[in-house]
Amino acid sequence: MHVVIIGGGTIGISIAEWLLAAGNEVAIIDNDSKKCKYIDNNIGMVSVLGDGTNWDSLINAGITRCDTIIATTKHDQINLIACQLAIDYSKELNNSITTVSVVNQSDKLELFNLSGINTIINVNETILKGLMESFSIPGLQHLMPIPEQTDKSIISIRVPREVGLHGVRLGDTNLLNHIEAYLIVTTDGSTLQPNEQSIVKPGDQILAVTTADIEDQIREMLVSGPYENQI
Amino acid sequence: MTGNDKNIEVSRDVAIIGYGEAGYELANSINNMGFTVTILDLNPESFEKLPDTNVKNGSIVPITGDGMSLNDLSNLPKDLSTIIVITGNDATNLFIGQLAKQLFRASKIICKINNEKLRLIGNNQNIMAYSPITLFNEKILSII
Repeated sequence: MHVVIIGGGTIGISIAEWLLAAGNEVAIIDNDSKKCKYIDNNIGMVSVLGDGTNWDSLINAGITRCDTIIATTKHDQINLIACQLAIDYSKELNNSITTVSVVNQSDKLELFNLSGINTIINVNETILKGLMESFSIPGLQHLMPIPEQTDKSIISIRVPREVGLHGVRLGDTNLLNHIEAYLIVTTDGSTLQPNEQSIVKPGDQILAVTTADIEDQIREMLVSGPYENQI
Repeated sequence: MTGNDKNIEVSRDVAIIGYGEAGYELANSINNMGFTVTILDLNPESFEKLPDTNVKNGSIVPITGDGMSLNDLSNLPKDLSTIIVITGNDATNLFIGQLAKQLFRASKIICKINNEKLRLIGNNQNIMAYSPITLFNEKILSII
């Protein structure tokens, strides 16, 4: 497919590289000639010097034959209006261009939501989520729901640092009363079947099946301690 | 907007966002018509050329702030009859117009937008968009 990317910054370039590697065609619009030069020299002759809110620039980037437009600039007004131009054009011709946009300032989210853009990526929220995930070790990760078992899912529990270097015997914790553990993945990547005698150490992951209502308790067990009795 | 004009003219408050060359004349003229004019501009220096007496008697109210910020926009009077967006950039004006529409649902929003395609996006959302160049050309054509 052909994808028009607005903005040749870090985000725009990484998306372009990823799309190109997957065999797609891309064009990147940027108003900075240095960035365009960098793009042409490093990832291929795909830059268009111009402005994402200017129809001629969008034409030069191939908007008339594109499947998707992705707006990635630091300027929310450019991202929104580039997508709105694509949406209007789409409506006019009765074909559909998928629109994707980055939102830099969270207070603009409502405006983006109202505009009919297909996918909106809130930069701050995404970064925050990543940060929170990295801080949430010890933590519990939702891996996948089990098909046709609406309330059960597979989770991964990361053993917290607080259990100490020597680890803890699973039988000494409450954990097995709450979950069906079926695999331990240690930090060096080896796997073992869990039983009461298994010793888990910080960073090990326990894969388990559990119901959604018990997840909160496990989370509580992991973050609150004391770790002598629980995990 | 023709039919509604008469019954929504309760408020005598107008806001101008972007105080450039056009803003100066416009603020004075609107002020002379008896409206209070609140002006929002990023650059406080741009307010230096405002007529002192009007600022002192409160008929022109300068506010330093960013029209692109919902927070700064919400510092404008609540019951504005009209919001005029005339910064130097089409995309910025259309964007501010849409933000203003979100905050001030009852106000008339007028944006300076030279680009025809962007004007259409505005018009589709009940934003009045005009291009000085087009208006000038139309004027000339009507004279010729």
